[in-house]
Amino acid sequence: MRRRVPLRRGLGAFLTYAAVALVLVWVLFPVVWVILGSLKAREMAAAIPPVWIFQPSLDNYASAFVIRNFGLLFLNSLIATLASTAVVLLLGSMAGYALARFKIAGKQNILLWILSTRMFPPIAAIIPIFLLFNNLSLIDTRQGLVLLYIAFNLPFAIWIMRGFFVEVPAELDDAALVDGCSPWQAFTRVIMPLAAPGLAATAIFCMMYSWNEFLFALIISRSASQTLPIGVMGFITQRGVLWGEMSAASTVIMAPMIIFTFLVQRYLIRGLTFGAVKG
Amino acid sequence: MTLQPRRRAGRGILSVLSERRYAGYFFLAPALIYLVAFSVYPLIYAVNVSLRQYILSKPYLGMPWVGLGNFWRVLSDGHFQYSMQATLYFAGAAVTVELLLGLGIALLLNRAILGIGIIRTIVVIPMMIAPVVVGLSWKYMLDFDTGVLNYFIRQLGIRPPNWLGDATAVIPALIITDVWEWTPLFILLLLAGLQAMPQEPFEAARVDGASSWQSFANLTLPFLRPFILIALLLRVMDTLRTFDTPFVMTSGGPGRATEFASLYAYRQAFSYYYVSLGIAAAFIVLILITILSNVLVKALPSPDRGD
Repeated sequence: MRRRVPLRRGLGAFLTYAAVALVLVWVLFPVVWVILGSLKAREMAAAIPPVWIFQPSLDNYASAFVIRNFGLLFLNSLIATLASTAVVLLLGSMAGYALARFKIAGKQNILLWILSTRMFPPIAAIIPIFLLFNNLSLIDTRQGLVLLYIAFNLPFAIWIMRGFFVEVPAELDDAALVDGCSPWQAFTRVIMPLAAPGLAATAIFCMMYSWNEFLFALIISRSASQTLPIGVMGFITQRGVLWGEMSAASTVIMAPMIIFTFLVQRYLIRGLTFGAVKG
Repeated sequence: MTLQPRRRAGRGILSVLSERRYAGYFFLAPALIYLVAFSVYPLIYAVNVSLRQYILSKPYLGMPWVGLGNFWRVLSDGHFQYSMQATLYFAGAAVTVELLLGLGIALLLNRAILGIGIIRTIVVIPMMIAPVVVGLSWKYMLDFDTGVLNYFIRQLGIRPPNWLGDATAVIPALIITDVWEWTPLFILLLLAGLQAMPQEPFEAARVDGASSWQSFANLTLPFLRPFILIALLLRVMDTLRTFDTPFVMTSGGPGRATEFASLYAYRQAFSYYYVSLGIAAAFIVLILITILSNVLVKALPSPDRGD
């Protein structure tokens, strides 16, 4: 079904590729500009006219990560991301499996309710959670962030994993059950391995949302559990913005996500629409 | 069910708990309990507080009942009225530009192009980057004196605007940033739609002598409708509660020019400690989002249920 317009030749093809090139420049310029900025010496980062060719240096990275202690923030971000993703994958795939396979009273309503939890404005949700965490001494802890990110990513994981399980033929579960597996064994030994690519894609999306998350971290973390997206704001100072260090930290925040984008390219559409559209 | 003893050896507690009759609930319960704890509690608490007066910095005042008073106070606050206006202007303009630009680029990429796979992935990069980083990158490029964008504009002999310092230029600057970050969603979805489109009707239309504009308007657009609606739904919800990018780029300024609704709610709760007013403001935005998404969902064809 994927027939495309046939390749054009001559002027039409030239104009098409010129337009595509323009789109790519528009998309990539800001990213490249920040990476270049991170490699420039302090006086070059915001020089006019802009400096295009220069001797790259890693001073900004050293300044951000050694002097300003971004190593700790990196660790906080990493732990919050990995720990929450691990729990989300387990709970989310179990629930997704349940909603894909079993007779459950009010299944459609449960699915819609799960979706609706993501419509709740984060700012209204975070206020009660802030007060609750305050009572439980969870403010400014990594545990607090992990608990929040699990709640934040779970609806997404359930919906998208359900979509992947629906595609695994139910006969396989039945065969495993007939062979004497319990439903838990059928799930872990037969179905999960088959849904592994979906699981990997879901993991990457969850990592992405947690790694990039801003509002919850802004409110819940102060110093000990501060994450990279909050820390990078610290380069906006009273005396101006430290563009070089800011670019270095920004590069470190975005680099893994750009790599992830290439890893999940097959699942981008699903991941970005809650599984509503299967690309 | 036979009476033959079932092989239980090697089965753990999880296997026993997932016995067939309860299996669905066994798999569903942990996630559901977690979500109920993290969404029903905040919901009840938030609704309760929105109907009372609660000032975080003055706990000795208690939480007297004020009914809908907080909602009236927020709705009659000139700053909130401005904030809603600015939010709607920002959301409306950004989503419109994203839709048109996304449609154009999707049509462009749907032509036979070498390396379409990699191009499609590169185009998506902006929406994968942390909004904070997007905001800071554009703040870097939009700086009045040292920004690279104004350098290019000056080279063309035009006097550049003070993007983030001038109250009339700042919302367009945030729109440009949002368009950069989120046009990819429209490109990705509309391109998927275009590639799933059957070719036969187009051939028939060509035989019947339809112009390419006619086949676009009568065949392509109707086919793309569900894809456009899903993208619109996602973007309308998100732009109306935009927080990160304006917080980073302008912190609501200059003055209060970019104090969008979420930032207004955040400030009421965490800068002035009027928790109730913050929640009330957030609820007003939620009501607006719910109405708009219902309108969009009504326009969607019934979703594929997948089971």
